[in-house]
Amino acid sequence: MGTVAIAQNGFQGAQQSAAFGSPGFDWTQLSDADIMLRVREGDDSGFSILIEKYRKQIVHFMFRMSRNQAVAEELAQEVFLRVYRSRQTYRAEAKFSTWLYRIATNLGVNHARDTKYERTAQNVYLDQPDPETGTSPDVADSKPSVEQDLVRDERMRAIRKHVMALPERQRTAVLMHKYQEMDYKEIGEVLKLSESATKSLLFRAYQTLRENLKDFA
Amino acid sequence: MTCPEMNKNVAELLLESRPLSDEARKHIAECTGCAAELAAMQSTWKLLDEWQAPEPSAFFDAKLYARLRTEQATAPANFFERAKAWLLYSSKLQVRQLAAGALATVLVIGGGTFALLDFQQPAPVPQTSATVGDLQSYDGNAQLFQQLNALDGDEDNATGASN
Repeated sequence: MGTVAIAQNGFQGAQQSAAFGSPGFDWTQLSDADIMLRVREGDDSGFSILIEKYRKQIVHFMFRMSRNQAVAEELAQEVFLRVYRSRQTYRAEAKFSTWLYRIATNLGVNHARDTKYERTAQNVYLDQPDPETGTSPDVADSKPSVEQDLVRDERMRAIRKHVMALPERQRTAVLMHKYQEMDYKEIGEVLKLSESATKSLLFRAYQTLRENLKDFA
Repeated sequence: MTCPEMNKNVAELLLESRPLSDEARKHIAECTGCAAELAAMQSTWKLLDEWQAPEPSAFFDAKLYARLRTEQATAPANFFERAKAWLLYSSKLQVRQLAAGALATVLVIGGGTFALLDFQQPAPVPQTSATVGDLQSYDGNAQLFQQLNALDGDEDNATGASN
């Protein structure tokens, strides 16, 4: 039973769960889809392996969607929870990563829509680091590289601003293509678009970025 | 090679990491516009690399596994949750397309039902104005008087004949 497996493992992490969940079972021989199918059948011990493999990618993806680390981690956890909760609906014909990114995209887009107006009215606290970049606000500094830092921060801000200003689908496609290193076929599957539509969507997005970022490139 | 064809090559270079063909290289050497476009695209691509994301915090796993244990203790997803999850994440159907299809179906069924009900109802009797009503009534009375006169005439003739 899945419940017992989780309770015993306590979701200890990939290596430990592989050892505790099914003794002698080599999880590394299985594809992600096979592991997910076993999770669907009730063997939850493989779920830790999937978490271990994709946690970093999903946190990064959510960070770029939400531009806040705490929110990104919260959303990434929610993604894995939804994956676990929706395990009965998983079908092996779709790649696991496609399914995972569909869930992540859905959550990220909904979060962006919900906080659209909050993000435009963010406060800046001089005594606290920026939750998006981890850097302190630009105040007088004795470092010789202060100008370089300013330029870099300005560039970073421009990149984030113009990527986030792209239409919803273009933005998601760029984040997956540029930062998650997914090919346009897989992006098309996540966004439920044809290959040619995805290609054209991505190229339009990069053309817009090229135009808007020409002062920084 | 023409400039639009070169544009396609730039897209392939960017999206598929496919190297430029000899023909495209030759075109770039001759066309300043396409060379500038390619250079701008490449520097934008490089610029985007600067956006780095932080590593997951030390508490990420602990929080996630705690939430998973809580999730495990809750009731499994019901039919509607599973149907929603299937529609959103597993099916290739777009929610917008489905919504548009559902709306079109509702409009067709609703419109058809309305048209059918409307067709079955008897045609309403046209309303006439008061003047037309009076004239019609007057006309009717005139006919009645004529008929009565005709009856009176018949009776007079009958009494005359009997006398």
